[in-house]
Amino acid sequence: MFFNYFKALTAKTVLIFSTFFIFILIVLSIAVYEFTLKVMEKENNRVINIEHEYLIKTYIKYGPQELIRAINQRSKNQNTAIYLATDQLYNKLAGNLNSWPEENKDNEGYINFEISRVLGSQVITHSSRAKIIIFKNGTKLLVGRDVQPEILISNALINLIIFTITFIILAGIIGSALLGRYSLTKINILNLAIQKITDNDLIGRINNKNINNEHKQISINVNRMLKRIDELVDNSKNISGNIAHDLKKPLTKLKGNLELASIKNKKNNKYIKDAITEADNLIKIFNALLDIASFESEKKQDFHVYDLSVSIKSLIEIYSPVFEDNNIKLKSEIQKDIKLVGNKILLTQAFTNILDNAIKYTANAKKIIQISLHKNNNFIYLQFKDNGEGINKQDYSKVFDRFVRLEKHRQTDGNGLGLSMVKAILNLHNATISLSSNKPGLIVEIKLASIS
Amino acid sequence: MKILLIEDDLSILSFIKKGLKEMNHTVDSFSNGNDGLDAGYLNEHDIIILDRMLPGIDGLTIVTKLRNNKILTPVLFLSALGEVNDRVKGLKAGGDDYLSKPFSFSELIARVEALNRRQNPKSHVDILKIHDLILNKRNRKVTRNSININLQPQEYKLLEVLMENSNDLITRTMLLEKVWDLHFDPQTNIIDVHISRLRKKIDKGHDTQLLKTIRGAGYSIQYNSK
Repeated sequence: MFFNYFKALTAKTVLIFSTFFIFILIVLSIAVYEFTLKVMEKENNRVINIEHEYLIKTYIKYGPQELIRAINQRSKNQNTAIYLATDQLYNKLAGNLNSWPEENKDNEGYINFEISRVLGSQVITHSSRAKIIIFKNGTKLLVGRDVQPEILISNALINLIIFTITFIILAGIIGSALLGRYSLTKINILNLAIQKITDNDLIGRINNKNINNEHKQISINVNRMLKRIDELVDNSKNISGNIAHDLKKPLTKLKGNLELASIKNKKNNKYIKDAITEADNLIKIFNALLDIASFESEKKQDFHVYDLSVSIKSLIEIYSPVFEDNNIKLKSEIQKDIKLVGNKILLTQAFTNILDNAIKYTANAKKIIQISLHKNNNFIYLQFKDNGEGINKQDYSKVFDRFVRLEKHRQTDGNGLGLSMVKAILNLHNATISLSSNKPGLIVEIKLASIS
Repeated sequence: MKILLIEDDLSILSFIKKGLKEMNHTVDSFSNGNDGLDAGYLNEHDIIILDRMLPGIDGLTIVTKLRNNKILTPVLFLSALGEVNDRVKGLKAGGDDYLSKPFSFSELIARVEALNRRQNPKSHVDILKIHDLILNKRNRKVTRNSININLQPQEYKLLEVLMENSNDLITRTMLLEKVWDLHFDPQTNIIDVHISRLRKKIDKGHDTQLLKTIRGAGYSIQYNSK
């Protein structure tokens, strides 16, 4: 979940900018660091040079005695300045340094060394820098400074830089995660709303009253799109109903005339009878289409309380000789006294359609159909399981559409309206139907609201 | 039979009229509600075939008015509205049967004849008899040639419906409604399965086959002594 936040566009943008910013900051820090050190070094060197030159002049003008006096005097007053004068053999003549340090000259002619001082019980080591000169009489002079502040400041600078960069990296990651989460949450509100509407047969719209950002326009447009889709779906639904309605009259006349012909022609004309049968099939399809259209117009008339357990049991009883004749083993598990509010005739028709399909498509040699009915938390679950050939998962949603017949069943009887009818009836009852695999076979589960 | 037909679609009216006349029934026909109702008040018809939607007074109102005037002529509703709810409404208003358009003429005639029989119904008789097949409603016993026949409850109900209408055609739709309370035609041919079981029990081993299939229309239990 956490890593998903970084997939958000805003999070990615923040991450890219943070990385860029950190890179700039590193370059800048190095520059500041180098510059600060240089400035401090230069300043120390300048002070060393002034002292150094002053003492050399003193030596040249007034001789060694005066030099030693000057050193002694200066050593008393200063604690950052370092002085040492020795003779040829490095014996100390004057100064505040005890012994001559190792001469590690850098390329500017300074020597860098460390001096340890005893302060109370602690020994403190400080870095120092100095310039040296050897006079003609062998006297050696060292003038230097304690440059420990340079080190301290450079360390402080490094710490500051590391801290700042770490902080910015963390801030970038956390910030982008938070932003990502924020934008995902906002998008998710839209996303979930759209998903819910899609799952719910395009019923409902996105509530955008509380959205006050760029998502508002998206939600408005999605709502407009849904409205348009709704209209188109309605149109296509109405078309089949309207066609059926308009063709009913001519069909009734056609059939009437055929029947009159059949009555008049007592020789039992086979062709007329066949034509009547075909007309009957057409009438069946039209009636089914009109029924579906009327269920979809959601007139919840003639709903009453009835006992579903009893109704399912009697349906099983009606079908039991059919199961026997087709070598189908029926297993049923019907919980008693399950009541609901609904149109019994219509629901029975829906369940019969499902049962008809189960019988029709159960080609297995050991055919088993299982029917179970139970109640759980105010919902009624009615399941039909068969061990037939089943339906491919990708066809699950298709089979409820009008006139859809799966390729392999084009040759079998049926008009492709059975499951559309089921769906329309169940929608009328706010019930849901879901398909899954029985491995092999199909499981049809219907979920209905119950009354307590 | 004298039949009152009230239907506003003239082509349907004429085909029903022709068909009924072919079957030797007398038909008075009207294409609007007011005239139809006036004819109904005469109370001289055996059956009224009534369209639900009519110019003037609609079918439901006509039935209500007739029933309020103690005219109990059986009414068969015709309706272009195929909805189940309309059937319920029609029956509640005092109609006796309901047929949605487009219907087949054989269905119409079977229902008209069944309604006519209701006026002197066999359902009030306890013992139904056809040839040597006897059904006793009191103890739900069925015998053929005095030999007991053991029927399952559904088989009994099926036989009872057939015998109450003996010698007449019972359509498949009528059987579904009356025997199993199914108001639609399932894909699975449950009627054939039940009929063949019943036939095995009542006709098998007998010279005279009583349960007849009328092709494309329905079933009938009848005895034709030659």
